[in-house]
Amino acid sequence: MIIYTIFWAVPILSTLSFSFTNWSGITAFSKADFVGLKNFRQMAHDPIFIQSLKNNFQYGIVMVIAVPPLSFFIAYLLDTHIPFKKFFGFLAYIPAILPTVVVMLLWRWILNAQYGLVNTFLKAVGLEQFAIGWLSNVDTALWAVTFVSIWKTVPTYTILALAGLQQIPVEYKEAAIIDGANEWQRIIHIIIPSMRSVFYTIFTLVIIDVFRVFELVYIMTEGGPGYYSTEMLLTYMYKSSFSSYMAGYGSAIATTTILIVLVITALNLKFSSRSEED
Amino acid sequence: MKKVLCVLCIMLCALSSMFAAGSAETKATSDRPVVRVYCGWAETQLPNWRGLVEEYNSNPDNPITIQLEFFGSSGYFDRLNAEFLAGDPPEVFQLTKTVFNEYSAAGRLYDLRDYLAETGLSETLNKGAQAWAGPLVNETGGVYGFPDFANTSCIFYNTKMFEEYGIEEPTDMESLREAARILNEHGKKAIVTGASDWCATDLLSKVQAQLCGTDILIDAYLGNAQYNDPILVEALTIVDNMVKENIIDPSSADYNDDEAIAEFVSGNAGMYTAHTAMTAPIDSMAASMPGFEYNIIKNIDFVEDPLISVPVTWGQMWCIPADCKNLDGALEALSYLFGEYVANDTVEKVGKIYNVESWNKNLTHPALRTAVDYQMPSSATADSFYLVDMVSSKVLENLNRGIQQMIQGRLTPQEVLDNAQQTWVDEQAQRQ
Repeated sequence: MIIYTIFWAVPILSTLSFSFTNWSGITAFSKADFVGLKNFRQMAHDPIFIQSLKNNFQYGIVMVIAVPPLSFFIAYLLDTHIPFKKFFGFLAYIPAILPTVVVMLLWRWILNAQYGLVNTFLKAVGLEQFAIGWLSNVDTALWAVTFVSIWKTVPTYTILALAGLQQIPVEYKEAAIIDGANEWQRIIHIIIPSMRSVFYTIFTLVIIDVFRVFELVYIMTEGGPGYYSTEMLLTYMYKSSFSSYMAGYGSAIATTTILIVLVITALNLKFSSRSEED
Repeated sequence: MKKVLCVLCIMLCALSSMFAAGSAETKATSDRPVVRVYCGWAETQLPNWRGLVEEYNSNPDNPITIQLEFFGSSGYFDRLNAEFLAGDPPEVFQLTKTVFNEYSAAGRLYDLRDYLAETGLSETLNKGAQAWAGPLVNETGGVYGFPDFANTSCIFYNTKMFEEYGIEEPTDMESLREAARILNEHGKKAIVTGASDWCATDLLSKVQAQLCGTDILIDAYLGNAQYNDPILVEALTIVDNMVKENIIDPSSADYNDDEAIAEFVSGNAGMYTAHTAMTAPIDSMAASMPGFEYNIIKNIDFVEDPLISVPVTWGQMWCIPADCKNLDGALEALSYLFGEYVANDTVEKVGKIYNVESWNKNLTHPALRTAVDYQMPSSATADSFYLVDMVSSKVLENLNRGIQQMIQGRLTPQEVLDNAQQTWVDEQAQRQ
């Protein structure tokens, strides 16, 4: 309880209290003025915050749509079908075990406009018109970042999905086979319903991850190119607090982000508990 | 036997006196006050300093022990702020110009004017650098930091390529246009730069400094002028025209510094625009390209009758807290680190440009030598301030992004600067 208080409650409550002040972060906090909800009102008119929010939601929607099914699909393959399961299992987990910074630098090189692997390949197969600056083009940068994030995130949830799959009693699957259910029917009527709680866990964790995204964007694009085309709430919070020295305003962004995550997670949990009651 | 005993006694006496002297020396060294010196850079940027500080500390006659710490990460300012807030800041520390403005305006830094006068540095330290070391509105002429190393905003060129194609070193827009035309005709890019970051704003900086100097930047920062002032729009339009005329290659929008340097060093581009600090990465990349030689263009007039030749970043500021507990120790450390002995070593081994002309005599790097001989003397005024260091980090980021999009043909100069001004207005509202 003491550890929890020191490392969790105190920082969160401090952030909350900073968000009602105009504290710069480089002067004593006692010199800061209480400004009430002004920081939150400013956020509503701040085009960079609004852009960050939009980016975070676009990134989040794609992540929520893509990550759970992909994780389940790979887990299902690893659990049932393919030969050399262990080898492919190892390959599938590599993105999760590599350090994030290494992965991001690697992908920056792969997506490089001039000598990146992707564009070199496209040029080699005669698709030169598609060889663009994936991370320097405002139209493609967020998609490129999202793709890399999916690549990096899916293996982690594959492990969760695989654990869920292995929890399903074999008798259920055997009974379905005896009843003449094909593979697709077994997935829809036996496996997915049996894994409902695992899916809710994955959804909740992905949502939290979505709003925690920081190093991915910071390393790959620093929020660019162009006007904040990949800026996220936490990267903007960091820049406001530690580059622009507006710790009060940065704290307000952090508080808002926490509130968004809390609301979405609460809705998800409520929906999941109601669904389980049904 | 007596002789042996006698020799042993003499040896014992000699040994004990040596130990006594040694321990006295150790005691003297350990008893003297420790002065903490924080450097925001990584040690690789000043690789000779550690040895020089150890040399200083090992001399028992010196009055202090310098405890030098390199940071080289964004955690530096967090640490510095935390120690300031705790009332125990280091005696000497390094600040970037933008942060320095905040600190000096808040009255947290010691005024070094007396120190500079006593040491004679007020006469020898470049006047542009001295103006740089005051707050933005410097009515009293205060000097609150020692500006370390100068970098001029320059254009590097491939000397062999220019020679091979018979290109004269450009001196104005007309000759630059001609150089670009010849390079393009030979299938080369003319000027490249790393426009995905600060080099985008560096382009504007080059023209703005010649066209209107520093006052407009200070006024805009203080809210007495705007970043979308017609004269700044005119400056950015000159840059935009250079892109449209293929003088600045549009591919620059995609490059970061390393990629642009790779294009330059590998011979795909004849020129690379940035500032002189980029000689280190150019040299590093050029090490694997035998035969590659380069220099910087001495002077290009982007406008008629320019105010100065180039903008200069006069360096990061080395400061002492206003309420320093050991002021004498701090000044001693500063005197050593920014004295002629360390300067000579740093100029020779690291190739840094000091703001005291006589300290640069041993500089041999051709490009840096050109900067010292041709660019710095003509920029020794307050009009030489480097735009990249004269705007808030938020406005700088906005300018970088906007100019990058301008190079991609997505925005006009007016739109870029309108956005920068709006960002500054928003930022000020957020600060209040």
